[in-house]
Order: sequence, then C-alpha cells, then structure tokens
Amino acid sequence: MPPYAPPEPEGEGGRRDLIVAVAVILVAFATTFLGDSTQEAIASRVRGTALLPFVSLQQGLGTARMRAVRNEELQSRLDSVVARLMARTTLEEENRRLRGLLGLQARLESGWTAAQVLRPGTQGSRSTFLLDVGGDDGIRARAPVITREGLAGRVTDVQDGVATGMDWTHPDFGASAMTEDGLYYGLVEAQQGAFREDDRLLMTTAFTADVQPGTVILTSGLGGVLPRGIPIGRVIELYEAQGRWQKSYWIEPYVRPGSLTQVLVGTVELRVETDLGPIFREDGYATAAEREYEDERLRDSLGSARDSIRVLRELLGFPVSPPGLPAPGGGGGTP
Amino acid sequence: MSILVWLVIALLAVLHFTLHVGFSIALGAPDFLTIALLIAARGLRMGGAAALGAVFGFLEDSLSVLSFGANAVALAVVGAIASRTRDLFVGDSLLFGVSYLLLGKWLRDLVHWFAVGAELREPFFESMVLRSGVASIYVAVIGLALLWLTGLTWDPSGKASR
Repeated sequence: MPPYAPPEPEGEGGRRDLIVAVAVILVAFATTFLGDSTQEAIASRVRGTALLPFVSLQQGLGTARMRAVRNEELQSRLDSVVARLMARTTLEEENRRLRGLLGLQARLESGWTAAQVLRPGTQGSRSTFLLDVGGDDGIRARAPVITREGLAGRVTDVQDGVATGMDWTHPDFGASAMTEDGLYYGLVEAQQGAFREDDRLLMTTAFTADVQPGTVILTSGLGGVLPRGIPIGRVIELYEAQGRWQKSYWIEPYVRPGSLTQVLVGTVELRVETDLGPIFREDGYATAAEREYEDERLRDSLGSARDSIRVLRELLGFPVSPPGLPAPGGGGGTP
Repeated sequence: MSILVWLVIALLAVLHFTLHVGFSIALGAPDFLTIALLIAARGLRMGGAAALGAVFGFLEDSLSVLSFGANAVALAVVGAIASRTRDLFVGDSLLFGVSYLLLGKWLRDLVHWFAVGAELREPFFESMVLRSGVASIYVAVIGLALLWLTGLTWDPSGKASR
C-alpha cells in the first residue's frame, strides 16, 4: 500500500506531531478512568447523535423481522401443510418465546412492557444490548429485564425510544438473591469463564448456609431494585468456603444471554415490593432449552395420539384426513 | 490526500457501523473501521492519524458499557504507529499490503485486549490467537480486495501512488 502523502517532516514539525499523537493517546487512555456516569453520558450522547442512524436502522430491521415473523405465522395457520413442514424452524422458536412472554405478561400486574433486544456487533460490546423502548415508554435506569425463564439483566441508560442494558454476564451485574424456600440469602454476581459459554453466576452466602445442588435461586427483593421472586438460576455445586464466614455456590442461570430476543422491561409503574414468585412458580423453573425439549416431547405425544386416532377411525370406517393434515375440525396452527 | 481516499475512508466507516450496528453482524463482517484507519494513516501525519483513530474508537466505545475508552486507545495507538510506517516503507509490494493490514488489525486487538483491564480480559489464546488471528486474516483479505477495487493500492505495474 503506497503512502498517500509525503513522509513525516523532520525536526520541529515531526516533534510536534509526536507530541500531538501522544497527547491524543493519553486523553483516550484517561477516558477509561472516568466515572461510570460520565462515561455513560458521553456514550449516550454519541449514540444519540453520530450513531443514531445505525441504531435506528437496527430497530427498523428488528421491527421488519418481527412483522415478517407474524406474517409467516398467519400463513402457517392458513396452510397446515406448510405449518407441518415448518414445525422445526426458528419461527416456531420465536413463537414459543413470544407466547411465553405473552403468558407471563398477562399474569404479571402492570409495570412491565415488552421490548425487543438489539445486539450491537462492535468490539467490546459483549454483555451490552439495546432495547427498542425508552424513557417515553416509562422505562427507567436500573429497571429489571426479564424473560419467561427469569432474570436476564437490567437497564443501564435510558433515552427516548431506546434504552441500553447489561445482561447478567456483565462484571458489574449483581442481584440480591435467596433460595426458593427463603432460608438463605446472598448476593449473585457474574463470573467470566475461560470461554463465553462458560460464563456463570456465583452466589455468596453466609457460612452457615447449606444449599443443595439443584436448589432454585430467586431474587430476594432486597435493595429496592429487583422485585422478589424472579428466577435467577439453580445451584450447581459449592465453589468455595472462605474461612468460617462465607460460602460461594456456582449457579446455572435460567436465561442464556445469546438467545435473548424478546424481553419484558420494568416500567415506572413497577412496584418493587411485589412478590413475583407465585407467578413464575406457576410456569415452572426451567431454561429455554429445557422448555423446548418439553414442548418437543408434548408434540411427539400429540402426534402419536393423532396417528392412533386416525388408525382407529380407519378401522371403524370413519372418514380420515390425509397424513400431514389435522383431523377434521381440528386447528391447523403450530402447537 | 485525495478526495477519493477520504471518500473511501468515510464509506468504510459508514459500512462498518451499518454492518456491525445496523445489521448486528459481529464476527461475520470484517473490521472496516481498522481498514479505514490504516488507509488514512498512510496519508495523515502522526497526530492526525492518532486523532482519527481516537474518534473512530469513541464511536465504537459508545456501544460498550464494559470498557469505555479501550477502543479509542487501541485505534489511536494503531493510527499513530501506522502513520510512522510511511517513513519506513514505500509499501508498493503485496507483501507489505498483507503485513500492514494483518499486523495493524492484530495490534489493534492486542492494545484493546490490554486496555480493557484485567477484570474483563479474556484468555490470551482464545482472544488473541484464535479470534484475533482469524479476524486479522479476514481484514487483510478484505482490505486488499477493497484497495485493489478502489485503485488505492499497488497495481501490477508498481505505479500506485495517488
């Protein structure tokens, strides 16, 4: 690659350039030591000006994708054969998540709004996400971000129409937690693994706590930020016992940040003192993958039952629908 | 620098944010911002290249609540060093083009890896050898193709300066 300008000037001019370059690097380096609020203020200003067209483009594409998904859903209901062919596509996964969220939102009291998660693909943006809702939707900073499975993260910065959040893999993430039976309380923090897939949560409790593997961990409601009863994860094993005053347990989170697409975000109407435990308990505690597996099993059972009924109808001489089509009078949509 | 060079730099920056932010493509799209900076550094003085790198870096950092300033430091350092290569290399050869882009991108990732701090630093092998190694090769290939397409780099006859 050839130079597009002559070499650097020698002497005074060259020295001045060197000083300017070093000064720029030092200023850039100094910004890494600014306070979180100052950094967020600068970042927020840049996002709202220079990067606004790109953020808007991402929101527009997200909306268009959602509309396309709904369109596909309508088509699949009209055409049961297509629906059967599409039974194992990502559309179904998207539908399942949306239905799960809709069910959860219906059970939750007011104070939650649905949002779409947008991920910037820039270097260093790991653990960060954008939400297509903002201050004009009643979102506030530090608001909880949840899915049907449980706690996903929290909002860090809010502007009109857009908010920024961090998921639980962020090193600054922390939540006051308790065991499901309410016997033991502690603090949950993110722990980076050797690989991103290994990221886990660590719950620190009192030394007297005896938490068994598999125990469900929920938000405790202490601290006045997160409502009580939101599932966080389940205990894997004891990590370490420090001296005679503290124990730490590895937690397997229910929410995998990589699969975040639709979420519910707490609004200004959210009452932090509300206990959401019964609402989540009603739906059971599981990861998205476990729910998908359960749905798959249910679908297989329904398929077997439908085949048995078809054979029975054939034996009894009743009219039957061709294979792949729902029984006469039955629904044609995806389960 | 000619208007064409500035135009290519601006287009690469817009393309970078369109793909990485607008379309949320992470590793699938090359680091056009580093390519743009490395091109600009061949025409800018040291201070200017560092300043352009810092501006590019702050744009990237605005989408990162993890390590604000790390991209700015990385790109400012790369801009400054890349600018000095004009004194050392004429840079008409293909070997220089490949090395310049590849090492430029790897250096950017290396400085970023240091600048994010110990708490966020990922394992060196995974981050700098595997991920950054592949990304650097990707940048070198795409960068050379872009430069050849725009006519900004060497041509077979060796008369490439603009």
